[in-house]
Amino acid sequence: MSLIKVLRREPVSLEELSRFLRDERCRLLVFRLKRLISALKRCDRLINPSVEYDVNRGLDEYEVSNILKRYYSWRRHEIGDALNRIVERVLLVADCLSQASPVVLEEAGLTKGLQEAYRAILTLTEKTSESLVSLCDSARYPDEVMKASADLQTNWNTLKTTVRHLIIAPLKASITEEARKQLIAKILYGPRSPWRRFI
Amino acid sequence: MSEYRRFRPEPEEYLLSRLESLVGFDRLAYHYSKLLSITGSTTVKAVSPPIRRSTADLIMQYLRKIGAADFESGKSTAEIAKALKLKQPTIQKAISDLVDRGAVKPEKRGRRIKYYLPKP
Repeated sequence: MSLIKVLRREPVSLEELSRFLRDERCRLLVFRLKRLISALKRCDRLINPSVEYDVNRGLDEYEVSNILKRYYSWRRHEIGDALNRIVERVLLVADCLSQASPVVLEEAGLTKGLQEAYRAILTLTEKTSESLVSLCDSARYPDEVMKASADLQTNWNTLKTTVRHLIIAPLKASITEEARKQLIAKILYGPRSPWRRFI
Repeated sequence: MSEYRRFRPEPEEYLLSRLESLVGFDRLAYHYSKLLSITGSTTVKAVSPPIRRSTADLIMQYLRKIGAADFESGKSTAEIAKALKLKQPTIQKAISDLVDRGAVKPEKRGRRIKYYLPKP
């Protein structure tokens, strides 16, 4: 069924797509992209945890700020670690893409685009960790804690959107397209042979 | 040789033909670079607007940071203006609004007026 889905350009998981990719570099890229997605999900779970709240009254500002401050101080190192891991995995994806032909890297401007994307992601990561530090260290009063946590949420959402828009979504689209082309070639011309090594 | 030169393709056409003849991973990377050039830096600018804070917010933040709770630890408008790198009339106007709202308390001793946060 995934064959038809790939041909119709319907959403397919990366595991299924990697079956249609023959190039080792493509498979490595898919693997690293999956690792990046899992790092992003882990950080998202830490910053926005699922809450089970079973009290019939609403919480006031003091209680909410107390919960936020305690939670983020408790999870601080894990969140910092998760943010570092995102940057590391973005770098690994960029490293994998840099194995492309120099025609693509220089003439099509892939290096420049990757540089811009990496710079934007790094700046946003720094902003997110700064807002986390200000929330845990310098915020004392409830309004300060609320403001700092709002800053943290804003920065994290921007970082998440940027990684998704610049790295994950376009790469996934490219991988889908490449898998489709390779699949069509395989259907038309049969499996690879020594006389037809490239699709 | 001269005939070969005459029929040699132009550099741009040659580059385009090279890009179109890419296969496998290179084709994937080329597709991604095209997508990246479309989404590029404009996405980043669109999702991260600059944060603007009012002068009153900055003053409150500064007074909280230094822990201004009485006359000795309080600050005058000139000192606040110097610390926040703003003009004194701007601080004067914002702080008069804060005094009217009761968020900041002024105290005058001799010719000096100092502002600090009232006790809750």
